[in-house]
Amino acid sequence: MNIDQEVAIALAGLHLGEHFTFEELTGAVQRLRQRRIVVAEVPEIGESSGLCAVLLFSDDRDVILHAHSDSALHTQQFVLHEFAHIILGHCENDSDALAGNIPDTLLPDIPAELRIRALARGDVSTEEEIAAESLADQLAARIRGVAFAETSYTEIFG
Amino acid sequence: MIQVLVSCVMWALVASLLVLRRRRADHSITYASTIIALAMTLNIDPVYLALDPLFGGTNFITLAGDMLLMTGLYFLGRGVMRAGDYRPRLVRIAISLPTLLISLVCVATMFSFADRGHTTTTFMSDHGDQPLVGAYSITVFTYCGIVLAAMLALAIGQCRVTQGLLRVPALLLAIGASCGIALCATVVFMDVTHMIGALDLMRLVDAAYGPLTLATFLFLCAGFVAQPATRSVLRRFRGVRTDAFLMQLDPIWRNATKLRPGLSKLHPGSEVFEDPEAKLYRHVVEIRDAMIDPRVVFEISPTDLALLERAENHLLVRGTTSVMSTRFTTTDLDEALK
Repeated sequence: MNIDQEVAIALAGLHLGEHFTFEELTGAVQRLRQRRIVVAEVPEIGESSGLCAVLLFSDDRDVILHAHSDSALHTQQFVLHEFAHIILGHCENDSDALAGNIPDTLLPDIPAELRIRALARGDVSTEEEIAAESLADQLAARIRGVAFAETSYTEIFG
Repeated sequence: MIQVLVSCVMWALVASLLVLRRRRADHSITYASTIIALAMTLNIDPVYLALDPLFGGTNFITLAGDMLLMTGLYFLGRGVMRAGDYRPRLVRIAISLPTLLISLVCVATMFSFADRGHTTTTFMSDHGDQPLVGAYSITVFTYCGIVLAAMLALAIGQCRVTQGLLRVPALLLAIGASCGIALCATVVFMDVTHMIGALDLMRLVDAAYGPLTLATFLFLCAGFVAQPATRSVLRRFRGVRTDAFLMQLDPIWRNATKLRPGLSKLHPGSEVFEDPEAKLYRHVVEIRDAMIDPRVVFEISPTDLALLERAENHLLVRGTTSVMSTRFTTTDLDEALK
């Protein structure tokens, strides 16, 4: 299965339709993981080796930490990329993804149980990262599409 | 003259809808427009005078025209009921098929028992003093008024949720529906005054009949044409702007991805990038990635930054509910990790 097919299947698996809001997507991801997702901006992340966002997960929550960007669109992409990792099931992998690559100096106060595995949006070089970034783009397109989506009114009169 | 104008406007609307809405699943508005256009055509004096003698010469074409008008408005009402959230039970009942059928039977019965004389293009003026004819006309225009009131409620609701150019069609429909309601009220008032013999009062409001008829059809037709046309224009305009941004950002994006290759370089075969908007989004993200990556030195001029921000605003479709949905609450790190 190629990356585009994997992304298409993951997108269909969300059962959110052709267009959805960011809130609806967040809800779907939380239902998928059966736990809450916490998002926080951590400016220090951006100061380290090209990292934009980090996804940490444990048994009771997922935490997305992202760098600061002046752009709302760019910031959204950080979060969507991490959502994409979750949707694509990368959290279920046994690999210790990037856990060892996040220096203690960067995130010193992270509780031990949250440091099980981490996936970071940095360079889009591995297949996993390419798939996540591709899916993030598609999620953004669907969110964008809400503005032009058909309503019952436009379906009848538009 | 007004009837000819109204008919022309209606047939122009039908032609427009057949083009603009050819790929649509719901055809309520097209059916409504076609049937109403037919009803209005029957009201043109030469057409009326040519057809009525073929059906017995007792003004049967008046009944046919009014029944067609009611049927057309039923389809409009059906569209209104499907399109909006405004669906009070009473309105749903009023615009239902059984109500239409009952109303049609009622008007046909009243018309049948009335003294209708011979073919005339001024049927209501000649015979409107009869209670049966008055009741017939009141039934027809009350039905029309109810549908137009539902249309008005829907149009007002749509005015509230739309902005800019998209608000114009809803505004036109609201004005048209208001004129239509006023027209129906005028006709009912004239029917009542005619029946009770208050002819001075009847003539007083008669002056409003023509202008209100014309205004109703002009505004409603303009609204129905403008609705699909506006969306089409906005989509095209957005496509043009997307292409322009892509072209303007291209050199900046090329410089950025030379220093920091992104998805478009590493996964270039993706079908997603065939969509210009998806391509623009990717370019914006990759420019921003290069801008914040401490491992590369990539800076853009204030002019280019302004261009990039305009492209971002274009993609975020500001001013719509979807933009609000792209905002999320970030919490303090300590709070997040508690």
